[in-house]
Amino acid sequence: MPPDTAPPDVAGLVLAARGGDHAAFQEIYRSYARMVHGVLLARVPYAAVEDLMQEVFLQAYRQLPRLRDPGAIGGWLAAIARNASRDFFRRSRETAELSDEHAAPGNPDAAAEAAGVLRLIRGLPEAYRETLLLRLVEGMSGEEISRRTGLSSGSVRVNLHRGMKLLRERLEGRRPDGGN
Amino acid sequence: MAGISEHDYLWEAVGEADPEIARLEQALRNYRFREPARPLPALVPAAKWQRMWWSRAFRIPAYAAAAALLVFLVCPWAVRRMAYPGDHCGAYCMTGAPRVNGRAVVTSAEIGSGGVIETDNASEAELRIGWVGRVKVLPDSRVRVAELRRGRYRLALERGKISARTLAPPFTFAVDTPGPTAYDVGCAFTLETDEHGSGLLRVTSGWVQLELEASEVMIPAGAASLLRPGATLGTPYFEDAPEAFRAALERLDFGAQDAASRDAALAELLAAARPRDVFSFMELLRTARGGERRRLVDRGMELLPPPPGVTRAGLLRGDEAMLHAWRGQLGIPEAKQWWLDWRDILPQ
Repeated sequence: MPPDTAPPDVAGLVLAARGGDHAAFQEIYRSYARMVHGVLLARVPYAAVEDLMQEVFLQAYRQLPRLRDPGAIGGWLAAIARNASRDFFRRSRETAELSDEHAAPGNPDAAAEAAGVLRLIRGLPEAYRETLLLRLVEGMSGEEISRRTGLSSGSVRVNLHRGMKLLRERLEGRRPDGGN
Repeated sequence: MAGISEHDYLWEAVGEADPEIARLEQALRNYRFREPARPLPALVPAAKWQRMWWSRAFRIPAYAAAAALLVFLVCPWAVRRMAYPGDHCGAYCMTGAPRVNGRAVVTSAEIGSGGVIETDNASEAELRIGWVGRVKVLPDSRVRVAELRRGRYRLALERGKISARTLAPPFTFAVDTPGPTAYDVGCAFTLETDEHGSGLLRVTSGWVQLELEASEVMIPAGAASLLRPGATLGTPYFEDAPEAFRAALERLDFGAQDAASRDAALAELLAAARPRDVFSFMELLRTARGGERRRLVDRGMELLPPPPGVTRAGLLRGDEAMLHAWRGQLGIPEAKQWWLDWRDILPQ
């Protein structure tokens, strides 16, 4: 399980990065990269996630002066990532869909299984799929998801449990025996 | 126990694992974030001006400066406007020696209800009517202030030519001529007439309504209407219409009205018309006789196909809703659009 790398003084880091301190921004990147990765993965093909992460953090760096509350950078980064996902689909409306099956490393059967699960999660309501991916893929605890995304603990808890319940039902329905 | 264990593990992500969640974590592990193969590209710091712009120290003075600039620009205009409240009218000499109530005006003079302003062939004046707008009285003209009170402003152009730019609400400003009366519907226009009522109305922005006895016609920007003595209004036409079209239209409106003459004029009009000139057809339909209506509708539908739901039969019987929908195909604005025509308030 990756450690919770919450920076002690995120507002201080934002202010320093705003002043041009690259090291401070790298620290922000290290702290929030997993969260941004999960938010993107909930929406776009795996093969596109790394490029979009670069875009999200570059955009964030350039727009840092516009962030009014430096302590709210998590929610702000998540919002940029969601917008970047929407832009991705606007740009790639005409191109062929990227497959998660071939994009993820590993043996073909495992990759197919993983892609199937990912597809099921992406088919869940928006509120659940992001939280569930942050938990199941990025390995973040509920508390960490709340701190990183700016969502309340209560919301995260509800999203996790309802999302997991729905996912179980869909996994059951996918089994050859229909879950019996 | 299983429920509690699952609950805890899903939230905590540590401790005794729920087998199904652990299986999902295992399956999805390859999608997990890894330190990127490539570092973040060289970060380009936000431009210094950009940082300054969003800083409070810069923003407050910037807002103050913008407000000051607005006051600086708007105040002189407002003061000038307020100098002539709704029931006042000032006559300003532009060139030469215009006369107000028979007396030469050197710079400006107040002119009240019933007052007359005259220009000779070498003079020009401007009437500033409250906050309603400005009317240029061009050379060789005679204008009487027929009515001047809040909400009703009426001039009478007895002869000559005026050019008006108004800010008044629709139908509060009007100009009488020896023939029809022109009602401002938020616009800019020029109007000229001789003592007998022959002249021309040209609309350059918005709309003007011409009224004569029980008839009325609306004229949009870019169009004109001929004024002739008698009880007939000129059918409006776009000024860029072909010469042959305009000549035929004048003959239809004011020429010989026997069947053969009208038939010949109509044939020429239909032949010379462009799609945009169907606007004039629609006006002609109001007064056209018998077979003329069919010819106008058939040629009009050829030049400007009507939208779905508009039928030949409906147009022939003068169905107002269908005529309105057909007119929509011309793309003429329904009313004045201040966000497009704001320049009209500026002096030319």
